[in-house]
Amino acid sequence: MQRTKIVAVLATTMGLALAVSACGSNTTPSASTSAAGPASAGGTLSILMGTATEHWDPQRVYVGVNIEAGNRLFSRTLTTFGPVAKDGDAATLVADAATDTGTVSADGKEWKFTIKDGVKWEDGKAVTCEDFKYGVSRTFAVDVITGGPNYAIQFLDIPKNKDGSSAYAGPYKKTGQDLYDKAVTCSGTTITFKMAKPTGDFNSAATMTAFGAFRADKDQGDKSNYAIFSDGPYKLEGTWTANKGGTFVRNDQWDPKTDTIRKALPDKITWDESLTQETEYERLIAGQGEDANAITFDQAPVTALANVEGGAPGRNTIVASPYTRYLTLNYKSKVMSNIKAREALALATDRSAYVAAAGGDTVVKATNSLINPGLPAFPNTPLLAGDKGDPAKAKEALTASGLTMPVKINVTYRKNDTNDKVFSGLKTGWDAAGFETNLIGIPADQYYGTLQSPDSATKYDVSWAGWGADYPSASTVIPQLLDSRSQISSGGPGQDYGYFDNADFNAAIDKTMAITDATAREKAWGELDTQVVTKDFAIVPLINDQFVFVRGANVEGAVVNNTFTGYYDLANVSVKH
Amino acid sequence: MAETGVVEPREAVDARDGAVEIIGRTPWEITRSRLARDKGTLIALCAAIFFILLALLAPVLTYFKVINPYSSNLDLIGGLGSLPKGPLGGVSMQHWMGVEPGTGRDIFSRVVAGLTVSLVVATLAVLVSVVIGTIIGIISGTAGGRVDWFFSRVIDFVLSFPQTLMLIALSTIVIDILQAAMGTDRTPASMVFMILVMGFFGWPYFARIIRGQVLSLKEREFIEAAKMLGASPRRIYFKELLPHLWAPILVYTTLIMPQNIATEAALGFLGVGIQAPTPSFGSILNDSVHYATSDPAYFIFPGVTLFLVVLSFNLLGDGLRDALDPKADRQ
Repeated sequence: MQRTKIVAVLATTMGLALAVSACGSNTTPSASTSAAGPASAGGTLSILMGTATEHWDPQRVYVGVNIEAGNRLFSRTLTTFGPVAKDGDAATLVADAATDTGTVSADGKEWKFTIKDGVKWEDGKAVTCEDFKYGVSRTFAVDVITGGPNYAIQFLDIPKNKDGSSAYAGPYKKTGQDLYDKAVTCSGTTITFKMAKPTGDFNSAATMTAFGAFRADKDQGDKSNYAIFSDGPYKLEGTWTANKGGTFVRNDQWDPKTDTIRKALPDKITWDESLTQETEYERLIAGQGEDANAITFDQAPVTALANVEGGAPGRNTIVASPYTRYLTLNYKSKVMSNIKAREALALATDRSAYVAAAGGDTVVKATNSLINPGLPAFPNTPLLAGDKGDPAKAKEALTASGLTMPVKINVTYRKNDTNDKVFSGLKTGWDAAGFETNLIGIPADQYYGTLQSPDSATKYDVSWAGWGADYPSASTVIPQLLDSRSQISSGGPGQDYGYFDNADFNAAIDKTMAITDATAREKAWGELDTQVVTKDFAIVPLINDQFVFVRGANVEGAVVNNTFTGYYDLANVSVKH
Repeated sequence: MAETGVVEPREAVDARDGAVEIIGRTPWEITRSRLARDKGTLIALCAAIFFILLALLAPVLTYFKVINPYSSNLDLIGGLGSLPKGPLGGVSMQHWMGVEPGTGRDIFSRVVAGLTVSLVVATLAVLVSVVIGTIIGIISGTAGGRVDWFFSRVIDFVLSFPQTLMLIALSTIVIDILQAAMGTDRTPASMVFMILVMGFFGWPYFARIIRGQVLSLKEREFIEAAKMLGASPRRIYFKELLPHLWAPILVYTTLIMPQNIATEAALGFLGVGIQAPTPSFGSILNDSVHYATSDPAYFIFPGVTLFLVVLSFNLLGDGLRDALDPKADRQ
């Protein structure tokens, strides 16, 4: 339910997706494939970060970096996406702590997983079905376990209160515990989840650490945020310090025989998040001393891009990001409730300025689809007026709107140096079409909060936003961003920042959700995307960016796993030593 | 510059030897002659005038498209990271300081337009300081006693405030309020904010100097005479005291100016000051430091310009102080 966050681009069930994947080659992914030759165990891998980890509590993790690292290091999930051989390849859904990827009943409403023997916590006790059941239950304690995805609340067959909250209040308050005990049951090592509606891709959602195990006797509620208790190959040495990091060492209770995913080659992994992204990249590019053993999950800042090719040849990765950056036009604003004004803005948008300011066409591509090109549903809607926009045509539309020119608009964006330049370029195009643009940059840590506040409803006409799918289906894009029923409430617009509220569109969402054939369903999502962009002009898609990463010279097997979050996959990483 | 220390009023020499008729000169004439002999200050004065003229002309030059601080030149940038093409950050006949990475905007134009913003903010902030400082200084100096004690403590209080911290902490909220009150864009609102805050934190310097001057002046014979003759307090303030205060006010104005320009740049650097896309020294430097390794020219040109502006005002202020106050010791 948050915006940046995790992403998966392709799933097993959607082999068709490869047709639209940027890197078309279909290498069968397998845990044992490694392009870097025989990898050696041992050594210390250093992870340099410029962004702080908000949560390590498996149920509270919703940032792609932490889903990836959490799963690969210390939190095994029932299913996961396996590592891939080459950057950008599609990963397959595989069993992790479960014996297989789950079995679903004929009506699609009951999922069963069996937990492997020999999966142990770091204190030697076995990971049981009850641990998984307890883990998932924590998601329901929405007042304590904040920040994580709420797919469990959405999917499981537990009644809702009148205000939309779940009748089960989590393991601390225990209100409605009997309802939960009916929805999730344990029989021996087999866990059964009962769904409210047919959910064909529940086993994809189960790759998130939010569906991971948690031991009840280790639960300290909010205090568990950084208290890592491992059932994976590594455990935390000492404690985790927020904004600084910590050190992971081998968990001797982890049995490689139970694990086909993780090679767990380095003996030790240090995680330093006290850096700024600039110094971090200076160090990575220089690659001196210990930094030769370093990788990062931060993408290179625009200002460092020029040094990446020359300074780190053969040590960098440029790979499509799972995000789409777009503008929402606010239906509650006087100006943007006028369809002609929306059309004019869409026509006048100069994406070439965005591309240049964000690092050039190697790393940024203009788009007119809300759905990312990595998803099977990508409709590839053509740009309305080329990548530069057409101010003359836009002016005609704006004149037809009947508004007094120049039309004043307030445009908000997440403030950073790159976006400042991006929006001054976009402003030039809009002003040429007859708008008078007032740019309002809002600091990153307040940005989405401000958009989601009900006070902002009539303040801003146009807002920047970014979104990536939670798992490889546009079911986690279109309804998450445009279904007014699930998003807009008295508490704000949810992710429907533009207050797009269209009964026909909502009906179309329901119809699409009910389509059982994956190919047909994704195609229908694509059509809805095109409609909202070219008929309603509710959304102006801007660009898709590419992630640029740099790694140290001694690091081997660092491959970006686009299906599983889009970052370097730690499963196969080793350090030459 | 060292010769300023040995300057002697000419009439004193003339009077002693008695051969030449005594020429009466006003303080301004004395100051001018001292200044004329101080080459460094003269150069600084010319530079300051040049920068002020450039700042005043910038809006006109922008209007007639002689300089173009806002237009992108996407053909002049390219490659991974959208850096300027060509050496020294894309320096050419059209773009004397090169172009900005990411947009291709002309850096010279942005520096000139930024100079306007920075100087307007610095000057108005000094004006605010001068007005508040002079009024409080005169009141404090003439009233004495409890009033003086009270204002002196207020001055201590304001001076001990962590100014930069306050600016950063207050900026978002106050700028929002100003923006709502003024009904304008964010740029004028943040300019007003900076003027008010820098002006507010600058007045104690003036108040202290003025108070000191007033304390010594009010014991002088001409004030006593005016009082004895029954002059109104109003006359004493404006006709007797104020003319003697112009010199310190002028000196401190020229000394606080560069301080304000630098503060504006520092705040812009911290992301508090003038917001993009309006150029100012702060917002330009804030962006350019990130390119310190990949495009150093982008940092060097605006940085050197800022250095020259601040240096010229500083030297001018020092020179003026020497010229206006022969007793001031530079050592």
